[in-house]
Amino acid sequence: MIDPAAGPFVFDTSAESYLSPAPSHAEAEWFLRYAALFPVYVGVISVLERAQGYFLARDRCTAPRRVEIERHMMAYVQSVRVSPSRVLDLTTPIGLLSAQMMSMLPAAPSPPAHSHRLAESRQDRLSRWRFDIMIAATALVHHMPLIHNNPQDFEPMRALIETVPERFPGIGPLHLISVKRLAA
Amino acid sequence: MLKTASRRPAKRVPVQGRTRRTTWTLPQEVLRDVERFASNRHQTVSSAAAYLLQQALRQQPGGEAPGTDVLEMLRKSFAGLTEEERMLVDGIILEDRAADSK
Repeated sequence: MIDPAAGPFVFDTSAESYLSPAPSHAEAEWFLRYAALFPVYVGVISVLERAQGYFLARDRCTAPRRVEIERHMMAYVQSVRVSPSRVLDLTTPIGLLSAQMMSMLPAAPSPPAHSHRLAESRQDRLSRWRFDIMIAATALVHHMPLIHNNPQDFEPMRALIETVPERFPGIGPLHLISVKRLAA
Repeated sequence: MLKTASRRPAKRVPVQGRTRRTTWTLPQEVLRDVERFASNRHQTVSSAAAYLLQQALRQQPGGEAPGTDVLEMLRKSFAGLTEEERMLVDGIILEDRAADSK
């Protein structure tokens, strides 16, 4: 169990959706307690990923469904327009750190996602990997732990910083917390 | 006919419009930048400084928690999405394999 008062934390795209709504009562309770103490911080890259997803979903569906998707998207947009902001912007230090990590980890650590009839393209997998690097860099620059539900992407970044700390002066370690450990 | 005294509406200052005079000590170069910013926008230095401070505070992590309303908005943003739509808003863009191989 992670103490909600140990925050604030940055939530990866996958962690935010895992908790909305949380699958168990204990996790929902944890999220509620956390949100009463701190903003649910996300990187601006998570906002980009989500907004792109809503736009694609809207373009792929029929007219009646489109209205519903737009309603969902408006709820999401409202959730990131709260004041004070819960969205952490991309800054020059985040850009520089992301570039360093991208140059050292150029390829995604796992293959593209797929289901029985659908598959992620290699370009989209690479974009998603780079987005994850930028999300981790956001957490690192803000010195906040990163809550995630995607160990296969974030663990290699944590290992990289631990292995060659001299390449990341004043940065790290990358403190990762699995979303499934929050209330366990 | 009943006569009522004409009452002028009380002059109310909106909460956001209230100001307070203060004295700050700022680095000269910061003050110069604010003055330049204000001049470019044809604003007073006070209103330019207030605008810049508000913008900076909005971006500042560690401010007060926006509360649990965000959780409700997030719940609404995901409720009722199909598995495929949910993957899309998680940043996983899946395409039809058959269409892709054509």
